[in-house]
Amino acid sequence: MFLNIQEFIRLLDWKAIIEILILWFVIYRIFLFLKGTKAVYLLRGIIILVISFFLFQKLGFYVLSWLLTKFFAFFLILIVIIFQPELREGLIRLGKRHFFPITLKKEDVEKSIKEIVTAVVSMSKKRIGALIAIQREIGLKNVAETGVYLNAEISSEILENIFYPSAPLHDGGVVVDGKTVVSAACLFPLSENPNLDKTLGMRHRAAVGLSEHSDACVVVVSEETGTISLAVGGQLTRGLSGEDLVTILKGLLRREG
Amino acid sequence: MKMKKGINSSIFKMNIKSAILNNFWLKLISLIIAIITWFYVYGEITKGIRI
Repeated sequence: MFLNIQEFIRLLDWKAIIEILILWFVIYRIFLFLKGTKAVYLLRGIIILVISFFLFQKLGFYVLSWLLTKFFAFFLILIVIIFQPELREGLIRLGKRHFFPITLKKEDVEKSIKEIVTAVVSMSKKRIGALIAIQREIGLKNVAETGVYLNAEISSEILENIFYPSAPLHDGGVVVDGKTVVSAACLFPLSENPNLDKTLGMRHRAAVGLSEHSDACVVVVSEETGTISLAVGGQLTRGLSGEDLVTILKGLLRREG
Repeated sequence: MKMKKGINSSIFKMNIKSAILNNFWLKLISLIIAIITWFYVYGEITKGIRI
């Protein structure tokens, strides 16, 4: 079944190294994708079973080893059933990724960041809740469709107007693509991450949820505390100042410039 | 000029360091699993050829 170490080292030519590197990249991306989701616990269980299988074989526990072999026969079907939401999300991400990303002008990115941060800081001072998703490589069309299309050039006034408490579009999130406010009053998917702070409200959960489902940067202003937070890749950074937000957004959106 | 070069090289070193240390355990475990998988599959394939 296994080769010995000396034979393995002998076999390590450039093709083998490339194969291992590709395998490493794929496995790492899968782990990164599953990190912070409920699937991690299932993955741990699977790893324990695989280790047990090899241990049983090594120790000569043939009955247990046979049982696990039979179990592995159904394993592929089980994986498809258990990881169905993650697999679907992964395939959607793979399909949506632009292999030749649409590049935005540096000035447009900077203008967009400036307008967003100005609006966010102002709303933070007034304790007005806000939820702004900035699209990156993965399109947010499905999210934008759930709201009202605006297709307006971005400005801090427009953003503040949208989130003004009695305004018709203040509920939900805004989708920004480049220097355009695409849509307002959009429904963002809520995060199901069990490790999220229980005190977080729906707005923050929606921000984390969208950042889990896409590569978007989601800016949130808390209605209760006026705190500015940023969700990227399922991670929420809270208590940011205007300057922090500018620096982080510039760093995140830089490659598009 | 010399100072700028020094700053650039230290930024480069910092970037490499953060690229390695960021999710270090995840990267290490992935590498180990990748090697084991390759090792196992290659063994299975060559066993099939030998038979």
